[in-house]
Amino acid sequence: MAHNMNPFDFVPFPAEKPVLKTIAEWLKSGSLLTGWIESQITALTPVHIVGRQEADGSGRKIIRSHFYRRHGQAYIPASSIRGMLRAFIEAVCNGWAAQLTTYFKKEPEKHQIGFQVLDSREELEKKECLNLIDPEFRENHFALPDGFSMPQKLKEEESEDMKVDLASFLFGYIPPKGDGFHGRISIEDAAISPGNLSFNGDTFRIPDIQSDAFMGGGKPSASSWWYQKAYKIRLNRNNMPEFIGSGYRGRKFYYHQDPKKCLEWYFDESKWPRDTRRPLYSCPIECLEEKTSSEPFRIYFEGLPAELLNLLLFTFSPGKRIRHKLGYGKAYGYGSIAFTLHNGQLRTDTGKTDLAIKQMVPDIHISLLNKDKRERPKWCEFLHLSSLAAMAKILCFEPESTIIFSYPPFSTNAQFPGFLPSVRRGKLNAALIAQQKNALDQDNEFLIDDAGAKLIAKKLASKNVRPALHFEVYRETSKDYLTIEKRTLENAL
Amino acid sequence: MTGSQPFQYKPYEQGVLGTLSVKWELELITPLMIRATHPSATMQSMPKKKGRGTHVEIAWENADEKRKEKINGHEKYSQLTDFNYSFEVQNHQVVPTYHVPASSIRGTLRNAAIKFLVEMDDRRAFSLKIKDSQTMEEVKAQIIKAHDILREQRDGWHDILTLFGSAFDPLPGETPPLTWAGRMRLDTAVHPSSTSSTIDCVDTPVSTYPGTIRGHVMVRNPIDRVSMASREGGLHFSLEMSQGEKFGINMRILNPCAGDIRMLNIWREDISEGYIRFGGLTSQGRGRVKIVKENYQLYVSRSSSMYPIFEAMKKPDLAKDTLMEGIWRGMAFMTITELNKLDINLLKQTEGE
Repeated sequence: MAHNMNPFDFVPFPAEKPVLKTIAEWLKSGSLLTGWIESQITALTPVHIVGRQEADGSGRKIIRSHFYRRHGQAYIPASSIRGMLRAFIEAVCNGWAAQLTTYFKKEPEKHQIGFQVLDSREELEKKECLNLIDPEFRENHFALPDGFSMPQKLKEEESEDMKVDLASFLFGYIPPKGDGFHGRISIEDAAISPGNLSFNGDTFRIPDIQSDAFMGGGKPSASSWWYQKAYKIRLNRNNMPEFIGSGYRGRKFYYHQDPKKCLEWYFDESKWPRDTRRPLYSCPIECLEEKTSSEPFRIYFEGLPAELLNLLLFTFSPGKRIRHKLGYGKAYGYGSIAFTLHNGQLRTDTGKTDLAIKQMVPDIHISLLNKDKRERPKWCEFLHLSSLAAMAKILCFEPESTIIFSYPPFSTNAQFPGFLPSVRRGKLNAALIAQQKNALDQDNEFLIDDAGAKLIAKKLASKNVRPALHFEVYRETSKDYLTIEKRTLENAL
Repeated sequence: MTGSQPFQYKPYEQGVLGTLSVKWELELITPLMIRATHPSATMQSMPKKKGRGTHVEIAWENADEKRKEKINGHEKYSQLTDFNYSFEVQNHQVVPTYHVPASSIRGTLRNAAIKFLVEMDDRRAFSLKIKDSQTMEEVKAQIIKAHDILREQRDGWHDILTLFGSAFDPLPGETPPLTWAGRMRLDTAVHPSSTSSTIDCVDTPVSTYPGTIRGHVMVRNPIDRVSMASREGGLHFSLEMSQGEKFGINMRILNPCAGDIRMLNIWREDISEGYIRFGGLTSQGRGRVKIVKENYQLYVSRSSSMYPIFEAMKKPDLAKDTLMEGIWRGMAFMTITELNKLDINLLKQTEGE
């Protein structure tokens, strides 16, 4: 029987380099506006922001996860809202990829193969751990495509060489070295009234495994073709095949789904195998209840070019069906949200004027749908449409949908257990063509392109050998793949 | 200096004719974050295990030493960026006390005035680019422009620099310096919390903690765009002053003028609308305040033409029964509206003095 779709997917890094401009060039995108917008966040599915988490004595199991509070008042922190919006803008406007872990060194039970996400040789040498990076990835083959990393140091702000992506222009950037610059958007915490928070009789839960690690914790490994593209197959010292990946697939976003149905699925033993060493359990989480909202909060903008205000409004409410995900438990359906923009104000030299938000937002959606590119307003030029289309497939919120997204179940094979089970040489040989087999015999390794890798992954999956080896193969053989593929940008808008 | 005449300014050429004291009590609507230069330390009792926000201890003394302690190879304490503190002598003892630095408030108000009153193209007129990135000709041209701006009283630079002072002297000895002290002195005071001074979620009492504020630990945990997990090395803790806490700003302005009153009005308005925020992380909404109490006291000298006007007004004289009685006259204004009604430009020397 075909498996569920994986709960997340990637918006691929475009082939072209990120769009970068000087501050002066970004400032030319319309007259500069200062003001604020008042907004509320409404939960489309329950939303959990992690606050105090009570654990059992072993520290391997959470007993209860409370909503984030300060002195008893619950909030959705501004940093979470900002981070979510910035990640969206980076992806749909072809910008840099911010906040990346720069390298993963080889660590027992965490990373079999050390690799660099971006060039971190200076730091690795300083920490004397360059040897914990696989020789294959010490000098080149960084996981992040060229041009997508944020600079370590910026040129002087007025310099013509100092170019930044749109997200950095809007939200600011402080590089690891030297001076940074302020953004133009400031977002407040969204307070939550106590009446809208509950554990719903302990029915708001997330699944987890009793282990030091959290279930579903992201591990962008180089020893699979899951987060990274296929690069090579090689034999390790024990003559066991290693599937080496190199090059991140893209930026990760989670699908929307019904958390109740998802949780039921995980706790059906016939669907999710049990691992007695790391038993499955569920933890009650305190949530902003579905269909309830935060208190109003403000988003300030200062010196924001008019066209970019339109883009910002689009980002809050990207069409009829594209909705953001926020907070904890996204993989299990939690955290689907919608922004309601109520009103706003523009500050001018002569005073204040109301911002007609309610008229502006529908106009923005209509303008993007205009098939004649020349008829579209200037702000649409900032969008990378194929990235937005990929985003629309993932973030399309369909309340009527019954699709369940779940992680690939781990192997219960006693010899090769876990989420990334090893593959015997014999089983791999059966999936290789003669030329590949010979290369492996003679050189202990061979390079592989994506088409070849998919073929091998498909053959292995058909024998139920490491079905989650290749991300795309796993996705394409999922039972709801075609339904997701039918999602289009036009429908989502 | 070639070109037009240099601008010359002497702040107290006719002496000090008046002083305006402005007292604002501000209440935090959102938390305030002003970093201390030295970190404190915080502790999570079970490092690298599940559970958070329980059994949190803040270690304030010997923080550097404590951060070397380990449990099972993992650091027991994480670094906590403390709120700004200083040391005071109380009862013959040196004690640490949290405080809101006046320089931070002053800088914020100055920046707000520049943003509101100065055209975009002129905003950097009084700051040089990074060293060596300007030629001598460019620096000289900037100096001429700076003098022109002040002489012509273009933008709001004149009002801003006469109030805050100026230290623009890029070519000492070669061009007339634009340096003078400001007419405003500003100090701040954190109001003792109405509730007991506590740090939210910190269970263990900390005896040496400079506990003069109600605070909380803010956690920053950026999310990696590819793994959607926490970015390695991105976890940071900082102590913030919590919403509801209060602090005061006292401004004393010598020879106040209409430009100063205008600025006070702008600041009040922008504070109330949330455009002016104090401290750091304003991009995350930090540092928004409201003015909960305000008081303005204007003292005028006998040699000022405003003195007889004050005498004619039936308000109590604040200088009465003080050493200044009969020499200065003081009047209190409980609202800015009252102050606005006053023609401050009359604060000049009486004819014949």
